[in-house]
Amino acid sequence: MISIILKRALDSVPTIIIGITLTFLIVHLAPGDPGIRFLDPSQPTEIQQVIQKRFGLNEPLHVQYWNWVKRILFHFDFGNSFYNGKPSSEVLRSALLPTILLASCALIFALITGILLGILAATRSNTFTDRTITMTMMFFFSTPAFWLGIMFLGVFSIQLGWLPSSHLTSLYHDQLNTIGRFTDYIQHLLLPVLTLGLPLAATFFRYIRSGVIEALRSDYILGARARGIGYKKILFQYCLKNSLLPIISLLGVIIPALLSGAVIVEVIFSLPGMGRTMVTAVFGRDYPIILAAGTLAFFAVVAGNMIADITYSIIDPRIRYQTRKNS
Amino acid sequence: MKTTHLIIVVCLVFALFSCDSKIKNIKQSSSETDTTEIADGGTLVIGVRSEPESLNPLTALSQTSRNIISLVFRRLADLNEDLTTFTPQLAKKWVFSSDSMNLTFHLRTDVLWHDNKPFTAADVVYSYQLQINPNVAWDGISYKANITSVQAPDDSTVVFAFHKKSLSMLMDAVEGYIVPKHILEHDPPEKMHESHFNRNPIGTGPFRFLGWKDQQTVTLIKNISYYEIGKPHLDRIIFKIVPDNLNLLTQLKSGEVDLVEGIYPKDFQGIVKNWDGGKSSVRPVSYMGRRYDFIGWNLIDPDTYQEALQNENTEITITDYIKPNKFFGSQKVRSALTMAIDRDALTNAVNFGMALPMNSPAPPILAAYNEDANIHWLYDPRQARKLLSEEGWIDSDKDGILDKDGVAFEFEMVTESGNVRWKQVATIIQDQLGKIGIRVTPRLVEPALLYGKMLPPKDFDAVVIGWVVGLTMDLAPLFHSSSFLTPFHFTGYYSPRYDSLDSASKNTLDPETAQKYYNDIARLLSYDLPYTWLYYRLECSAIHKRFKNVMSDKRGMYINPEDWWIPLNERNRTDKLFEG
Repeated sequence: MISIILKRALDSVPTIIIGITLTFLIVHLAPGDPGIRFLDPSQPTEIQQVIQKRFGLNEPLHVQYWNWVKRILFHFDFGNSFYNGKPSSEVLRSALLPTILLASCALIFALITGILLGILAATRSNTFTDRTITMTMMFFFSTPAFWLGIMFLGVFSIQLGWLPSSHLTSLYHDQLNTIGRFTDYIQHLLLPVLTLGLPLAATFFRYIRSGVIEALRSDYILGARARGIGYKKILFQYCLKNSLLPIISLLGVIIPALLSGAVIVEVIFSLPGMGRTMVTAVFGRDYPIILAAGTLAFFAVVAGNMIADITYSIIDPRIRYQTRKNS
Repeated sequence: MKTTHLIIVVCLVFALFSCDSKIKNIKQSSSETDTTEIADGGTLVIGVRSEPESLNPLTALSQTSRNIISLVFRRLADLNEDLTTFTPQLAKKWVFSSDSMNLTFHLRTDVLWHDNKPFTAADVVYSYQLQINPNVAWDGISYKANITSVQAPDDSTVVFAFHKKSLSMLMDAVEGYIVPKHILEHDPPEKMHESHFNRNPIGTGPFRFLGWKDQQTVTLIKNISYYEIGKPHLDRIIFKIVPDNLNLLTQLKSGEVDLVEGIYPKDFQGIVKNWDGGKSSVRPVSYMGRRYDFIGWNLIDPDTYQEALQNENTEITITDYIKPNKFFGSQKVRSALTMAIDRDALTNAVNFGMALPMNSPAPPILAAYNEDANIHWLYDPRQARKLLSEEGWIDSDKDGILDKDGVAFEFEMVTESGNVRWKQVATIIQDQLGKIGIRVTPRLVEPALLYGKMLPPKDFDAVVIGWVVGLTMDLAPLFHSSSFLTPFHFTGYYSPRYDSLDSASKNTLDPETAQKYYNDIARLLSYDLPYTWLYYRLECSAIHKRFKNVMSDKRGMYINPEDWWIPLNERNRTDKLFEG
C-alpha cells in the first residue's frame, strides 16, 4: 500500500510542476497591468515605477518566475497580496477554513442523501416513490447552483424569514452562549450547504440507484438469495459496496467541482472562503493570490485523485493485485 | 482598477456656484435633522459590496476603505459644504504669515490617539514626510507639491512653508489624515503597503477600530476619549460585507443592514416609490456625487505615436507624436459626433433620472463651475450629417456607411467589461451613430487591459468610461501637454492655448481673474471636445429612518456620523443584543 501511495505521489510531481508553471505563465502573459489600479492621474510618473518595483513586475518574466519558485521552495512564501499586502499564505489560510467547512458539510450531506435516496429508489424501482424521488433529484441535478441559491434565499430568508440570508455568523455571534453560537452556525450554513449539496446529492443518487438496481439483478445476488442470505445483508453488504465504487472514482473530480460551486455559493450568501478570494484576486490581477490559490487547487485535485485511487484499491483489492502484477 | 481621481486645481475660495433648484431639492431631501432628546447607544450596520483593502490612510484606495478611515482618523481641518471654508479639527486655528508664504497651525492639546498616547505636532510632521515619500505612493501626493517644508517649533504648533502663493494653500496643507508617528515610525516607508497598521489602525477620530473578520465585517466602536465631548452618540458601527447586490438590498429592506451606498438608479427608484414620504422604513438619500461619464476620443494616429515613442532622439518634441486621427482628429467631426448623440435620452435611459447633463470637465459641485461658459452641442443629427459631409464624410458607395477616400467611418468603442452602465451607453451610441451612417462596434475590455495596455499607448479609437472628481481638482493630468506621455492623458489632446490658460489659472491669486480663466478653459474644452461629456451622476443611498441627524451633501454620506443617533423606542434586536 505504501508503495502505491509513494508511486502515485511521485507521479503527481510533474503534473503539479507543469500545472503551476502554466498558471504562472498564463497569469503573467495576460495583457494588462496589475499596477495600474494603484495609480492616480495626479501622481508623478515615477510612482508607476515604484509600484512596478514594489511588486517585482519590473523584472524580466524568467527572473520573476525564478524568484517566485525560489521563494516557494526555500521559504514556502507565495508572496504578499498586491491588493492588501497580506501574505498569501495568511489570506488562503483564513479563506480555506470556511470553504472546507462548507464543502465538507455539503459533501457529507450529499453522500448521506444521495446514498439513502438512491437505495430507497432502487429498492422501489418503477414505483411511485422511485419516480417521485428520481424526478426531484433530476430537478436538483439540472438546476444551476446560483438559481437554487437565489430561490432558497427568496423563500426561506426573505419570504418566510426563517433563516439568515448571509454570512457565516450573526453580527452578535460573540454575544451568544455556546449553544446559541452552535445554533447560529447551523442556521447560517443550512442554505449554503443545501445549495452546494443538493446537486451533488443528485449526482450520487444517480450512480447509487443505477448501481443498486444493476446489482440486484445480477447473478451473484441471485446466488446469495438462493443461499438464504438476508435481504438487508445483501443490500448493504453486497449491492451497496459495489455501487459505491463509481462514487469513489468521482471523488477526484468532486473537489474542483466543490471549489467552483463554492465560488457562487459564497457570493450569493456572502460567505468568506476560497471561492470569493479567488474571484477577487482574478478580477484585481492579484498575482500572488492567484498563483498561491492555483497551486493549492492543483494540489487539491491531485490529492483528490490520489485518495480516490487509494480508496478504490482498498475497496476493490483487484486494483492492488493488478498494480502488483504490472509492476 | 482603482477608481481614478481626476484632480482639477480649482480655487476653493470662490463662491460656490449657485446650484439649480433641482440640486437644492435633492440636498434638502437628503438630510433630516432632529435634535430632540438625543440618546446615546445603538449600532449602525453599513452594507458594503467589497472588503476594504487597507485602513491606513496612506495606502487605502477603495471607497469602502476611505469611508471607514473617515470615521477613525482626523485631518487638521475639514472642508465645509461650501467647498471654500474649513472647520477646525485637530487644529484649533491657523494663520498665514505676513508674506503669505507660511501657514501656521495651532493644534488642539486635548487629543489622544486611540491607544491613549497624546497627539502632537510631531505626528503632523511625520504624516507629511510619509505623504511625500514616493515609496509610500500615497495617491494624494500632488496636494503637497507646493509645500517646501513642515516644521514643528513645539508640540502644538506646525508651520507649513510653500514654494509659491496659491489659492489652494490651505487645502494643500490640510489634505490627508494625520497618522501616528509612534506606531508608523517602526515601519519602513517602502513596506507601508504591508504594514500591520493597515489592518489595525490607530486614529484620533470619533470611532475606534475594534475588529476585522475576513470577508465578513469590520467593526468600529465609540471612542470615549474623542475630543468633541459628548460625541459620538452611536456605540458601534459595523461594515458588513455583502458582495451580492440583490442580497444587499434585501438586507436593507429587512433591516439587517441600515445603510447602503451606491444603489443602482433603477433599484433606487423602487426605494423612492416605497418611501413615499415615510411609508417605508428605508429613507432614500440622494446627493451630488463625484462621478461623471464621458466618451474619450483618440485625437491622434496611434501608429505615429508608437513610432515616436520608440524614437530615442531626445530632441523629439510633442508635435512629433501627433498626426491627426483619421476619424477624430478633426474638431468638426467630434462636434458632429457629439450632436448625433441624444445625450439627454441616453442619460435618462441609463441613469433613470439620477444624473445631470454635463458639457465640460468642470463638475457642478465645484466653485469654478459655470454652465454659461460651456459650449452646448444640442442633439441635431441633421446638422451632424452636414458637418460630416463638409469634412468629406459621405456615403459615396451607398452602403449606408459614410466613407472618405475609400475609408469607411467605422470604429471600436471600448469600455470596461463588467460595467453594465457603460455597456448600455456604448450600445445606445452604437444605435444613434448608426442612424447617421457611422458603424460603431462596442467592445468590452477587462479593466487591467483597458487602463494598462490600451489607453496609455493611445491604442484605441473611442472609449466610454468615467472619472471620480476630487474636491480640489486638476485638469492638467488629462489635457496639459506636460502630461502628454502619461497613462491618463490618453486622448492625445494638445493645445498651447489650454496650457497657457491652465498655467495662468494656477498662478493668479485673484479669485475673479482665476474664474475668468476657468470659464475660458471650460469654453475651450467644450469646443475642442477631446471628450464628449455625457452626464454627472447623482449618488443614490438609503438609510433606515430610525437614524436621526443624518446629513449628506456633495461631500458624501459621512459628514457627521458622530452626530447620528437612534431614539430609544426605535432600537432593534442588534442594538439590544450589543447593549445587553
